[in-house]
Amino acid sequence: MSLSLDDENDTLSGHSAANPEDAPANRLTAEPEDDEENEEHDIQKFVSLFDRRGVAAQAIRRGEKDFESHGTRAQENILEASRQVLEDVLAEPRYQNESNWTRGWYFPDWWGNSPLEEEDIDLSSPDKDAAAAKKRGIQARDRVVVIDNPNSAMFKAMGRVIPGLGKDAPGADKLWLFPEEALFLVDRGSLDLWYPTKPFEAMFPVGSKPNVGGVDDYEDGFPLTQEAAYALFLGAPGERGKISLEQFQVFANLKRTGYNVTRAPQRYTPPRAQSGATVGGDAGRNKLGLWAWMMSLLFPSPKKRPAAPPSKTCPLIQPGLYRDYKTIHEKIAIIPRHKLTPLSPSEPEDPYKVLYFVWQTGGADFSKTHPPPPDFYMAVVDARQSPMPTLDQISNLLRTTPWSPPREGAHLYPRLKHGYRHVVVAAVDQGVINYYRFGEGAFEEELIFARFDYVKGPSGGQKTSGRGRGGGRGGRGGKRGGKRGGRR
Amino acid sequence: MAEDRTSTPEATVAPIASLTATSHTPPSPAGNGKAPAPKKAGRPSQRRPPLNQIYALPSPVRTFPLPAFHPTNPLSLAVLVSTWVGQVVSPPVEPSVIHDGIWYPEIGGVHIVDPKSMRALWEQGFYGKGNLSRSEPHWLDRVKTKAGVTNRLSSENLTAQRREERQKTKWDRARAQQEAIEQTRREEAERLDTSMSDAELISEVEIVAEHGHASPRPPTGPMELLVLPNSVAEIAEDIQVPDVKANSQHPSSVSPTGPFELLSLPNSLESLVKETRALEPESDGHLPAPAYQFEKLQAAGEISHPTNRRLHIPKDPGGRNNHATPLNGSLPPNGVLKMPSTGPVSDSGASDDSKSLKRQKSVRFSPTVEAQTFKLSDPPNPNAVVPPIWSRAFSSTTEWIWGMLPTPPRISLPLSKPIRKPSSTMQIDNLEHLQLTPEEAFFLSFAFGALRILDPSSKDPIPLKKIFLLFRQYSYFPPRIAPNDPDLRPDDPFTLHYVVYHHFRSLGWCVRSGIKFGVDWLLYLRGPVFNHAEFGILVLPSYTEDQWWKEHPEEVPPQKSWNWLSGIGRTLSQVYKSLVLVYVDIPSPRVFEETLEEEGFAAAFGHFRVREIMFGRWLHNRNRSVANTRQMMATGKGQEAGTAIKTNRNVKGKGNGNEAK
Repeated sequence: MSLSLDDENDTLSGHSAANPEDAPANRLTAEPEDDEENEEHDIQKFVSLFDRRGVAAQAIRRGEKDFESHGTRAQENILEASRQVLEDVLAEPRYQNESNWTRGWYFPDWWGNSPLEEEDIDLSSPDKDAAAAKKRGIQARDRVVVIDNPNSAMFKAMGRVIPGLGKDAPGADKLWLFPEEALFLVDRGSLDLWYPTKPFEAMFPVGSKPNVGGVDDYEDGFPLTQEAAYALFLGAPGERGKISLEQFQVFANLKRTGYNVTRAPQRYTPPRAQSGATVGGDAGRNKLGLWAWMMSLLFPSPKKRPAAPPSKTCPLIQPGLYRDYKTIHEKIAIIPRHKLTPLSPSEPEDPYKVLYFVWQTGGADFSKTHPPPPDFYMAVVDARQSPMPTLDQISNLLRTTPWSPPREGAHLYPRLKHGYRHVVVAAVDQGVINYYRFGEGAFEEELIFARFDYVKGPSGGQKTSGRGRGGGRGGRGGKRGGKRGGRR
Repeated sequence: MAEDRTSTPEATVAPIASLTATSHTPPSPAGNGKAPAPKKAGRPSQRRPPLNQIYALPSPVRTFPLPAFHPTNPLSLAVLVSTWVGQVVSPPVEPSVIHDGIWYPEIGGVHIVDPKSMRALWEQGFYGKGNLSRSEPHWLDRVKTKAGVTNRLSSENLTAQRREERQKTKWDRARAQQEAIEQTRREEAERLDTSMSDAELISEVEIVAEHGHASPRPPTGPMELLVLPNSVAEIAEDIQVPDVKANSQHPSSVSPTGPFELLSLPNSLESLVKETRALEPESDGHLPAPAYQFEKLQAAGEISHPTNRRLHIPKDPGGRNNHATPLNGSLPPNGVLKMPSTGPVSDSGASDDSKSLKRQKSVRFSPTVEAQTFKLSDPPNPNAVVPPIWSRAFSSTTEWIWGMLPTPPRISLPLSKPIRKPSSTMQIDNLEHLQLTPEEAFFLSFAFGALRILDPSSKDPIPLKKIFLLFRQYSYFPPRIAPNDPDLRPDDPFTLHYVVYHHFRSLGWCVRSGIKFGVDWLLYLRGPVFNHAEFGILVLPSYTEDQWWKEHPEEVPPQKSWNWLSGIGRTLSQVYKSLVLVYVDIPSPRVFEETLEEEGFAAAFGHFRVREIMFGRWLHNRNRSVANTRQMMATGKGQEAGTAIKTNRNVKGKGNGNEAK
């Protein structure tokens, strides 16, 4: 009953009520559900702030939106309270504790000519070769910022020392950051980025403490602004020691959401499937009963591949007697179907290449040196520069991700939707990020026509079989009388 | 899982060549033997047979499985043997019926006009679309229902009914919300009343500014308005009193009535006081508007503000018809009306006592009832008069108010009662035909051999090869039929889409056009009658397999943009379907044409390769934590991390019976 005439009512009565909720009166223009979810997480993060200021987190209301003022005090109070909370949150002073003060030095060329070779890293065997595992994802040539006093919790998941060079290599025992990590920390206010005026060896002599000054000591270098950091770190995609704006935006977005993100190695072998997962759907199909076995002796089943029809252009199904729909559908299966295979050598090309490994939070503690297999494999593309992927691009990309078949016993639709490998592609359009999930589909693993042959009970009309789990699921028996219309 | 499924498909696979003879139709367990004949809607109260019976056959080709043999039941062996012998003696030939379709190049489709074929093709695999129906060709049924010959409801009727019900539900929900708001407002008003008794002397402006919404239980609906003491007729009569200005110039034309008269009014003075307070002008910290304007607002509130529904019927306790005080300030003698002035109004009656304070309202009662009507588009002009045309246009104020309200949902009566009496003599010709897309028609004739496509003029069958050429030529616009038109390509729209159509049909899916959802095809598990399509198919040609395309990049069309893809994905997830990108590897033109010429269709189609890529949005805020993922899996919101598409089909109130287990 909410009528749009309300606004007019307000104008007539001289209400100039600047009610912000009046504006998005159209439900269609409102953001869809997922963006509300977005909001939720932000609010959750602020809960501690609310507590400190004595405001309940419930003050920011979720759920049904009010699109117009209905003139009750209750509504106004709620609105005012949530405004106040947001105001308080924004007014919260941001400062850096001296004990948390972290400084990074920009040394873009220190590892630039490093002899470190990138190896093909096998993600499936984290503990087999400890030394190799340690080197995983180092990519020292791209690490351009060294931290002299790593005392922030952020470094639990960021920055690596350079292994495999021994104690005497200068700088190898320091924490080195990728440009996106450094830029993210600068952006966040957690890192003070300095530009050195002395050579690296003078500042970080081997075997002794760093020879650098304090906050106010500009002998060794000078602090950089945020703008300078952006200017230093942003570059073309693939440029050594830099990162493209899109890639950084995705990184920052994921970090802010709470994921653990690291750069994927240049070359790696995705982890193999944990269990001997079969290519789905076959499990139920090989169960032959005694009778089936006898029948197969009596009538040997025809060859898998249908024989070509007698003439070049005559129908595939020749007039005749057909025992079941399996035969018929095998005869008409003339278009080559994709064969799933767990093996996956491939050489993907930019930009359709896994750039980040992404881990969810909430599981076991994340270890940056011995990370578990990534939860998501992410590629980043500029939505304006690159069109949607070609088949080659997407299949090469998918083949660099691990074989992850759907869960055993999943139903048909979830199984199909899950696919056998997946990759997330972040398409960035001028800072607006949209993530897409691509999965390797396998419709050929689900032979729907097999259901046609599952028969009903002997009395014909009753549903006695074909409804159980396993092969007979679904059958042809769902009684759905009276539901004939609707969305087709 | 029943035990009698010993006859798995493998069990009944039999070499066809080894069997000969008998046209005996076995008692098919799948009900295959009884191909449902098109229903003749003869008797009015005929019930439709169950859907499983109507749509027993998944394709126009019937199968004849051997009956199951149960070792415990010797009789079953006898049945088996007799069936087998019967089929050996005279084998059934399938497809037994070859339908006729007429190819119309102007339309680019194939028409089935024989009613039996129409029904058969619809029921056996959901091919085609009735040209006068949404999909199932039941125009005749609908017309007969309308004419009263039968009372069978078509799916269109049911959909319309359901939509109306849904509309009503929404309406009810909106009303419930409004009632809740009303309740809040009432409670706030009560609280205000108690607080007001402590602060009688506060000037009204402040009161109004502070408590704008004190309104105990106004008459909340047009129906309640109607039962008020003032009838519609009276309003309609009094609407003829047009000149507002004149009224205000003679405020005392009706002399102030005495206490006796007041008491004889339907509303006593006491209740009047209450009422007036109830009708405190609605304003949030704003001065009340002059009476005339305010009345307009009141009336507007009638219409536009559901919570503020009260009929403003001017009654004057003092007998003055001053409901239309002009803006220019000819205040009534007792100063009951406030002007938009600064500072509190301290008129003679304003702060004397609570009674006079409370009487300072814009509602006046008079023995004669007047109504004021207006157009919302009108400026708040106090001098405006009621144009007589309005009172003519609307026979009463109430009707006018009704007219302003959004049309309430009309719940149409279920069509169980025919509009006219059933007349069995009525003859209605079926004007509908079934239209097949080229892909459907070609599949039926090429794969199943169940359709013969005829030339529109000569009615002669067109050979399959010619048909294929025609379909390819006409898949371009304009059709490439002239000799100097550009060559046909292996990725012409017909071939491209046919390959995908054939691929999914051969897997057993029911494939139908996806134009309504912005995709190329929709995949139904069994058919549109049984469940919603779960997948939308987007056909994307891929030119990476054959080297020829790499050597001729100018022939390769550009890739689509992300925006395009995103739009389609959004559209599809809005209707709870998931998007599947189907890449079709296109062979080089030379290879395709040569194979087509030398080895035939099957080999030529064998050069295409089909890959399915599942596509969906990935929501970074939903996949953030392991706990989130688990929760989503538990609630079925997304079956695995990373699915943005809801699989919970119960949202639509049409749970997927077949897959729900």
